[in-house]
Amino acid sequence: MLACEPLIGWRIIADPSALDTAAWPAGSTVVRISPDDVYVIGVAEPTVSDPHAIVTPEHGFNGATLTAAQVADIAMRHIEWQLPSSRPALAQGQIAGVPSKLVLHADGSALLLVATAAHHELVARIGALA
Amino acid sequence: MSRLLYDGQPIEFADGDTVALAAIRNGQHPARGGTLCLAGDCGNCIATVDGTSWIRTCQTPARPGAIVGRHPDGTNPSMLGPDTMTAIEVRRHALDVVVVGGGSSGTAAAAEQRAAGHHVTVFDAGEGNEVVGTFAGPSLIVRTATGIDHVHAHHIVLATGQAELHPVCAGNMLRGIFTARAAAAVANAGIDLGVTVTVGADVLRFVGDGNVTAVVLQGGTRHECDAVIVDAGGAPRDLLARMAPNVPITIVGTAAAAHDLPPAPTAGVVCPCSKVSVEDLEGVWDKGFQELELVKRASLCGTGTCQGSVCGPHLQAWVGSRKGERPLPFTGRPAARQLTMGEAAAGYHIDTFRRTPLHEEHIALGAQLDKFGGWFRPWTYGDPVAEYWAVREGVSIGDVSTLGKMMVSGPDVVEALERIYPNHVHDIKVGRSRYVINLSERGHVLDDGMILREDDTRFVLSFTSGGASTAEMWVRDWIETWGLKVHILDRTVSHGAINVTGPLAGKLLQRLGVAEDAIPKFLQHRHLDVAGVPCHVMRLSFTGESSFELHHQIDRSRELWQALMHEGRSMGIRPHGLQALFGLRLEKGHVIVGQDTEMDSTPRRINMDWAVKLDKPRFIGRDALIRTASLPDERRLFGFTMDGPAPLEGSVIRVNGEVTGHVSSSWDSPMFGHAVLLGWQKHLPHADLVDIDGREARVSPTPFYDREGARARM
Amino acid sequence: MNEFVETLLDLPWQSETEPNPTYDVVIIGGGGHGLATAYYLATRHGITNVCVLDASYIGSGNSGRNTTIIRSNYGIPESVAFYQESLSMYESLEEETGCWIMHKTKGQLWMAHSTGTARTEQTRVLMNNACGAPSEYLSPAQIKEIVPQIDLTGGGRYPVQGSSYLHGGATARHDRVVWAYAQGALRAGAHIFQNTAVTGLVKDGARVTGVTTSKGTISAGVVLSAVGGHVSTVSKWADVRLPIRTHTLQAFVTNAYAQEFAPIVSSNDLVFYISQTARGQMLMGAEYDRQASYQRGTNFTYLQSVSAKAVTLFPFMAKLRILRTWAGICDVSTDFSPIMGYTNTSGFLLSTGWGTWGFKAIPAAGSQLAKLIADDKTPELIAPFALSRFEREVAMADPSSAGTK
Repeated sequence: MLACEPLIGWRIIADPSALDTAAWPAGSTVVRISPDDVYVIGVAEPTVSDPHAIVTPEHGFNGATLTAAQVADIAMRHIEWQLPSSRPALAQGQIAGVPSKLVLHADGSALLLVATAAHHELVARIGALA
Repeated sequence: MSRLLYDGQPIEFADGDTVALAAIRNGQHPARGGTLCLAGDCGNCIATVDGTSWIRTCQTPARPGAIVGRHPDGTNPSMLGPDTMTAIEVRRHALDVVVVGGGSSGTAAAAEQRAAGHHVTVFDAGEGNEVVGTFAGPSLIVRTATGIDHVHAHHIVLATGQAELHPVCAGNMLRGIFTARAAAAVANAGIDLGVTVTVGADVLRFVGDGNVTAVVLQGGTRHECDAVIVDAGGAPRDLLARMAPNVPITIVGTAAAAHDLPPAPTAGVVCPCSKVSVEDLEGVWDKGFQELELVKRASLCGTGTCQGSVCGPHLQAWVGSRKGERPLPFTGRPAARQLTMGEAAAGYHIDTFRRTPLHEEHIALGAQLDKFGGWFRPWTYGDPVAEYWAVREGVSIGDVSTLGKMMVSGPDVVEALERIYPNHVHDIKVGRSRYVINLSERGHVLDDGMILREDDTRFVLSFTSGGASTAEMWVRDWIETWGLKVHILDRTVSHGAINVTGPLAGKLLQRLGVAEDAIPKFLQHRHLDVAGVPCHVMRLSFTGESSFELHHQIDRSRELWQALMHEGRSMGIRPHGLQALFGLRLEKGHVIVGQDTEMDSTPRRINMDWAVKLDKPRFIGRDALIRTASLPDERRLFGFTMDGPAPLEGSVIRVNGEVTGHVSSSWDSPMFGHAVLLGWQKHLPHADLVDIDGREARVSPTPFYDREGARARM
Repeated sequence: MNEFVETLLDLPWQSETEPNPTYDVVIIGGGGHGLATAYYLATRHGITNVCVLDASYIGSGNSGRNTTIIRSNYGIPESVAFYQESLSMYESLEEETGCWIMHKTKGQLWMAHSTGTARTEQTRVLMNNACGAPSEYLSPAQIKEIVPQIDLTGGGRYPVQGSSYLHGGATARHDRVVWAYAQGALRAGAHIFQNTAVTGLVKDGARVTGVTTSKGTISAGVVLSAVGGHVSTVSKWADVRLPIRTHTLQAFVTNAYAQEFAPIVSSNDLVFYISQTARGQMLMGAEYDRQASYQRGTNFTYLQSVSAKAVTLFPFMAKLRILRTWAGICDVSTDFSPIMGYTNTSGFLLSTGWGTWGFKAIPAAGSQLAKLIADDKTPELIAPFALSRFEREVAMADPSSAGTK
């Protein structure tokens, strides 16, 4: 089964330019959800230059680390849309009917993100992993 | 040789036989008669195979032990076998060029595309990959040996060739008539058909009694035989292209070739699927059905399993001969080869049900959980009246994690919120909050909630559970339309919320570490630790009692809930479900948007003009409210009281025997010992006494309970 | 011959091959609504100088593309009364026209799979009974008796909690309804021209006085648009703006099977509806496509979702084979109710906003519009559905009754 555990991270909503120039500590995972929206895992308390930025703990996601083969298997069995071909990349859409995000790393592995409130559905639908 | 059962009789078949070939090998027709194409084009070999009816036996490999049954003559086939749905595997592929058809033109097209540097995938029905439909995308649905493939392609090439024309003349439903390709397939399988005669399009009639015994040509020549092979030309198999007129599809080979229609038939069965004869066509034509589509609809010609593959060209020719011009073929519609509904449904999930962070707590407490707006929520923990009294007299907690929760921040935030909400925003002080409604451009109530001010340029907004899913788009779309500088974060699913309510609610918070002087006053809010959990504590009231909503990160929800339950035990704490909550709020006269409101409910109609400040220069819905302000308006929501038991919600309200409205909310108030209601009167004059279920109800001002609102401030 | 070949009814076309220069009434759109209006004008009001024009063949639009359901279980009194009148007229339509329209009263279940929708369906029953549409609320066990094929657990995710049940729910063969009205109208002297596209309206000042067509200009006392799908275009010619968006609605049918599936079944939570045709096929539909469009295209997602819903409640359907999918385009008003009657442009009337529910309304709408044209006065039954309701802010809002969401 998919090991999809709760994640502790930060959410920053800020001017795109502030996010573009922000420095993230080494080892952190930075998910640029949209130009003004970043989700970061592995930082103590991030700061950005925008004084109006919303910087807040984000504990609403569960995540699972996937190998490249698992990504391909899930894509074939559960994703109706096409994944981006370049890496790294962020893909967002329904996986097995559940709104999800795939943080596709350069090495082919990926972090699957899903709202904690719906992760039980995703885990049940994906079932056994390749 | 292996065996299968055909209409209860064991028959032997050879390796590689289809079910149809197995029947032919045993001197039988796979169905009941008619020309066989053995290419999947017609419906003349259809039978029930292993419990599934309407199977083209020519496309179905024979399996040892298979149970095959002919469809009954003249009635529909039964569903056989168990109803269990076996899991059907779905695979998705993103491909470059897809060639449908592995014949000579398909092979040539594939080679050409490969030479041009494309990655080519060929789907050939003969190899078990049947393309059943083409759709926008472009996409294709392919039935494979193991399941269903959903294919996205950059380019689709159809090389599906031609279907062979069937003979339409007297006797054409006899057994023993084959198209040329079918006859070749039979010969390839080593099956001897006996004495065969090969003819062209010039057949006058087939002769026989069940089995064909002779064929008569138009010149009068007669051939005695055991089987007739008809080689009468073809018509393009272009349904996959016609069913997707806006999808770029290249057709190559004979599927693209111009073709002549056959001569208009004068006798025989035109449409074997629906059993329509030339005589039937003449009958409906003479009755005035003189368009191709009308002939089709009046006779059902072309509406059977093969969807006009057999009869289409003959019907076109027949109508053309009468109208003097060649009509267009029918609209092509999916599916080209029939999918079962199980195959179509495979891999699809209808919807997703969300769980609040307190789901397990509710289950442990024996809650009756049900789906509300896509969330599982507790309806009751078993005793809604006891839950009610816990709120009114002691303390209770409720899971309100499903409320819409948003943070907005930015230099233009006050201006943005002033435009979004019909109430004033600028004068909300930091640390204070205000009840607000949302209006559509037409001035209709969309939702309600709270605005809480965090600092000069930062607010927290709440929305109803029902409105949460569209709130972010609504707010974001407007703010971006206006070009205002505001950051927006929807926290609905990342924050939990527990409502602590009842006269002892404040005491419970104190026991959990909140200093007495730190407890927010009514409509104040503060960030406080409750039982060690950082909470945004919002003092407001839906139940009518002193209430504190504790908003917090969802990973702390269970800890907070358990601490509240534990510390509240000596106060008689009980959690409350939605059923008690709906009654509690009804006693306070609070509307539930969507239950008490309708899609055209203006603030005036629900007596909430007080939440609208028309002196503001602009807000969504203002123009509509001003335009309609002077119109006569008969529709109004009222409070009512009546003796119990409370009528069902939805009961009609009558005045002088006429239906004038309905009850939108109804509750047997434990406090009052009678029913309290909200309901609509939609016609003037509005009556003070109305009839509900044959009983008298009286209009009552709301709130029914604690009209001064003292208890929420206690 | 199959048992459904039309052998009884004929279409006695007028001898004229071209329209006359002038008619009292010109009706744009030869679907059920246009033909029924012509029929009732001629048979009930003696107005036979009527011409119905269709760009294609009669019934080529939504009249020949719907799922043939007749019901009256709406959520507001005005609609229940109107559709119940239509349902009753359908019950006697074979007698009235002498044509076999294959009408069959089957009853309609509208099921709930959650506490919230159970409340909606109970409300529906109360409202329907109060307004003349006999209904009751059924328990799961009662539902099982009516439709034994159902899985009451709803595949474990959608347990059936109960259902409203409209006793009078019925189906009729859509094409035959069109032909019955066409035959009656033609016999009474009305003209019907197929393959005659209306290309514009003729105006005298602000008043509409005729139509231009692919067969020339025709003068008219009044012009009724009974167009489905392109009503916004026609109305624009009359300078009438409509609160209408046009959407694609798909449907599909399976191969036939022998077992009887007695009622019409709808599901409020799952949002789909299903019934069995006289030929034994299962016929089903669901929501209209969310994106507004004039295309009659179908998509696979629709087949997937409706199949998944149907199979969830009726597992045997997993083995039924999909015969054919199709689509129509439907005009949906902002309050999900029809628009009938006069407009602010004199000489121009409308019958539109039929969304996904037009077939069931054909007899009532046709007869009432005929009465309106004959008497020059709006009958009480359709007065609430006047276009002016949007200006007056008196919407006939009933979103939960459209069988769609």
